[in-house]
Amino acid sequence: MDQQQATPPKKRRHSEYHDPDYQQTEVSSQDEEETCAEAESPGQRKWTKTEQSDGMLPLSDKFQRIRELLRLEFQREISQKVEQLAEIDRRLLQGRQLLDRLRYQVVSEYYRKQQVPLTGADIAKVRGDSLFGDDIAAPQLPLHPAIKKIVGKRPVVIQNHLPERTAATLAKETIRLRNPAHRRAERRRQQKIKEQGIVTDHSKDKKDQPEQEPPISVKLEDEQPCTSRQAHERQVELNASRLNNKNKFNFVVGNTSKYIGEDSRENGTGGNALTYKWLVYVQGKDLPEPLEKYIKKVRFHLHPSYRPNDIVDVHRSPFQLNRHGWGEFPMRIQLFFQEHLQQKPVQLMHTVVLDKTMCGLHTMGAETTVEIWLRAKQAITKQKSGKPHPPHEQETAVPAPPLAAPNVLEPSVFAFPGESCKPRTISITQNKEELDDNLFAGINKIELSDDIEKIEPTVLVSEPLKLNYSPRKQPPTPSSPPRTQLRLNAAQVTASKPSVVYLPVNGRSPRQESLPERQRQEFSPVKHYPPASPQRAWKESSSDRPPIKPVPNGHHQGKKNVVFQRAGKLYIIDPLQRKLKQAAKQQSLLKPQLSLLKPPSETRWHMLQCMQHDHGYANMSGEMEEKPMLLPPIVDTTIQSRPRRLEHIFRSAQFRNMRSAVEFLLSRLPLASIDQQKEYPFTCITLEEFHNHTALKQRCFEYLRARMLRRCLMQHHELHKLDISGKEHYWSLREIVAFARVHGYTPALKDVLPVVHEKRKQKLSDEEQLARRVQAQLKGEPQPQLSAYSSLSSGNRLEAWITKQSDRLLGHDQQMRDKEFIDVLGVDKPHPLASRLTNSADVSFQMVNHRQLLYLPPPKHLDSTLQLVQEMCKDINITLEPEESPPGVSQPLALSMLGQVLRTFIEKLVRRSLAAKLQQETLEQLPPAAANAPLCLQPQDIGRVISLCSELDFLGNSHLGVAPIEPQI
Amino acid sequence: MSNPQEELLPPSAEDDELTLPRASINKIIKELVPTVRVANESRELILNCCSEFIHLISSEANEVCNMRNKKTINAEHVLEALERLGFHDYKQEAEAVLHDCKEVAAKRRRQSTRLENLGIPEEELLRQQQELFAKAREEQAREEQQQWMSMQAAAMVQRPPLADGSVASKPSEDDDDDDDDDY
Repeated sequence: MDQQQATPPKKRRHSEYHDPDYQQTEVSSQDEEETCAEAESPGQRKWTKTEQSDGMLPLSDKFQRIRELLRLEFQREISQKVEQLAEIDRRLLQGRQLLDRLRYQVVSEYYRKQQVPLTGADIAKVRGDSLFGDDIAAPQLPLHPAIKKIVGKRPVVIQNHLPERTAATLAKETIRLRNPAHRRAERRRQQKIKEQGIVTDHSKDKKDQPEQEPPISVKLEDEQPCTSRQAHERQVELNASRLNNKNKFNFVVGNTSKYIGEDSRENGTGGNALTYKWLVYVQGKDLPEPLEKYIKKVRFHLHPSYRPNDIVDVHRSPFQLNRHGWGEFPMRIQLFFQEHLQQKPVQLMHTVVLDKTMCGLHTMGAETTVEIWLRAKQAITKQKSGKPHPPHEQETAVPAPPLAAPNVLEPSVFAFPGESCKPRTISITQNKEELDDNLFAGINKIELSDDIEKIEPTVLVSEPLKLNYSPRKQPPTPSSPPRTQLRLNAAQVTASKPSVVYLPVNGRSPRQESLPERQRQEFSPVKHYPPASPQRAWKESSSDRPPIKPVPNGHHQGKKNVVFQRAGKLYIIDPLQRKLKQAAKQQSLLKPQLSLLKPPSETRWHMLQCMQHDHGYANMSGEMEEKPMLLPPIVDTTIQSRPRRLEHIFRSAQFRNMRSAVEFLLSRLPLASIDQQKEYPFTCITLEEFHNHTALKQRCFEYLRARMLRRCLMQHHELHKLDISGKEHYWSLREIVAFARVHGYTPALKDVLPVVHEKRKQKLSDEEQLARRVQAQLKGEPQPQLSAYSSLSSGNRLEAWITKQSDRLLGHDQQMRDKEFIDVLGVDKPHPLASRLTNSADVSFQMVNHRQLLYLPPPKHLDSTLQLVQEMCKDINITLEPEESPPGVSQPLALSMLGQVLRTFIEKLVRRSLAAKLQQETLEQLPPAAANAPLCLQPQDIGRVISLCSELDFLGNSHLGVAPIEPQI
Repeated sequence: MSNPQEELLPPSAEDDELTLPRASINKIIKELVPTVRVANESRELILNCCSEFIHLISSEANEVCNMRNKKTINAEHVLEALERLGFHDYKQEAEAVLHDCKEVAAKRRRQSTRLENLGIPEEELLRQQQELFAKAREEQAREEQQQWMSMQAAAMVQRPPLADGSVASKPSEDDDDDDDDDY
């Protein structure tokens, strides 16, 4: 019972506390519930305390305890929220980094596309957009095709000029192109201003300003730490890439929202319930000067459902806009800067975010920060100042319409509400079409505009929202009652306990804001008067510069690529040159290949030489040895080589008389060689050849032989002594020639009677037979040598070949022998045959001699003499056997020597007899050759010679014991 | 006249033995003096002279060999015999022949060794011979061209000696005088 009695007084106290709040403001049901809960909790605590303690002291203690608990709870909540905010900041940074990357790629793709020429359709679209586009954005569109044109021209320019100059030229071109666009834009602006009423917007802004003050201050505190962090990071990142002339300024665009609830429907005139109240604001971060000095005005483009008041201009600070709504939508915002900054208006896209939790408290929706580079100093040139003169005139008309328009609109609204409804319906239908086009145009412009780098991230975010909320478009109708509610809500916030922490902050912020507002109100008429055109012109020019920079960069890259391509071409050419060089090398390689042909020829020649040396024929070996010597060297050298042999033999001999020396040489230097060896230029192979030559030629040969013979005499050592001593002198050429003719060393010469010719023919035939015999014997002779001395592994082959050759040659020998008998005179044929058969031993000796004699150069001559020698020695019972001069070879040296001696004996005997006979026939002129005279040796002639020569004393008895002087015969 | 001829001629038995050598003497005489006639009598005379000459030298060589206490006559023995008999010119000829024979022997020896090493078939040998002959012919053609040039030069030189014909005639007259005196 006591408990029941205690509870009513406590409840009364809480009810008393609540009554003034409820009376002051119309609180929603949610607020009442919250207050009840709060009241109940302290009540329970009081009951517990009352039990523990008694009287006044327990009450004071209870209050203290309650305060402590509340403080702890609030601290906990604050710390949690701080942590959450930190996480949010981190995520935002990451997102922005990613967006920056996307921006880079998009921009690069954009410029790549520019390189491609525009199609007709694209151009039409651009032009169409320009017609329906906003006044401010209009000049941007025509720039796009202009830029592309410039892009096409740049590669040529850059090739010819430096990059700096190109930038200047490009800037000039852009400025020229923009003048007509600028004019068109101004005209369109005037038309729109007339059609639309801006004054109404101003009146609305004024009314809304005081209501918005407290929530702004609250949000600023929350935002400051986050914004400062972001700003610092961005400054570090972007300072390097920006111009030095300009400074970076950060502007923030954001919105707050509050849930009103369904009660607002009663206040609303019609349509859907406006459950939310939102506020959009523009502020600066870390600005050295107040925002007013930078921004002239702000234009808000609202969702078309807000027609006819969807476009609002705010010319004073704070730059804010307050409205009721039911859904989220993207808002386009344009910032207009002061004249001296010469900056083009900047466009932003901001999505209005509402409180989805529906807590009924002012909540932060979303914020977007923008970095804008502005000129802190005033830099105006005469040229630029001159151009904006005509826009001044146009701009003078601009301020007049807004002043007139609001006056007209305001009384209509207040005086005749019914009439005002009617014209609104008419304007709605017209403006919807324009606004729809404007929005799309704005989007296109934003994509095409120069400030793409700044706007792109917001565009990407807003696209899905548009799609979601586009079907929900509805015409809103503002009303005065919800505004009054907003005021009451603000008061409640200040009064309520949970908002106690914010009270001092709220108090400070409105005071600061109130002062600048008053100043703005005082100076407002001045702002209207200054012209906006020069600012726009400067802004446009300044805005042109940033696009110039990236564009040439891209093109520079492209051209560098071109240059690289050229360099690539150069590299392509270089390998071609390398290929050519390689081809040349290959050609050079051909030369050594050709040179390689020589070694095999050399090897062949070497093999031939080896074969020649290895050839088994003694006689042929001599010839073969001579031939290789002849081929490579000159013929002259070959001639010298042969006389060297003869000279060598001649020098080794010891002569006591000139005559003996002359005879020695003449016997070895015949004009018609018997062995068919042409050793000297004056020798002929056969007598026929000698006879065929002319008389002069024959005599030339004769003379050359004498000449050579004389040289040999001159070179001989002993003969030289004889000449010096005076006993005998060198023979003259004439003497030698005469001696040769008389003694028969010279064959028959021409310039003789025809009778002699006939004799010559007979003799020639005889000589031919002799030559053939010699050839046959020469060919046949080597066979026994090989058969006797060859012991080879491949001997079978050689033996077979040799036998074949021997068979052929034997046939020749038989024929020749038969001819021999025919030629012999005074000899019986059967006798030699019979004697041969009887003398088998002689045949054996002959065979032996043949084998051994094969080594001798004139075998034929020695063969006949050797036969005589052998027979003569038999008479004396003397036997001459072969010797082994070298270890492996046996030669009949004694026989060969005696044969040679006998031959020389016969030669001297016969030739001297001829000479003696010719001398009998006295001739005054040079004696003719013995061969020409029809002589016949008689025994008398021979006997005479024997009697004359001392050497032949053993045959005669005329000069026994006496050594008379020898005649020159 | 008939007496010395009869003395030089050999007896009838010897005639039968010397039938073969006559053929060889005929060959030699034709080689030496192809265009001159030689009577049969003169040929017999030359043959007899040669036999006497060889008997002289060979007997002398035999004596030298006996003095050296050797069985076979050697080349050195022959040379020494020629010196003793006073045939200096003939000695020179003999030495020349000896030298040639030795050279041939040396070459022959070298060739034999090479042939043993080589196993060349017959066909290749024939080819080489043909090649060598062809080369020789080419060389001859070249030499002939050179001869023409040298002959022209020699013809020019030969003219001045003709002017000196009178000088040559004098020694011939002297020779005739000597002959008359002897006769």
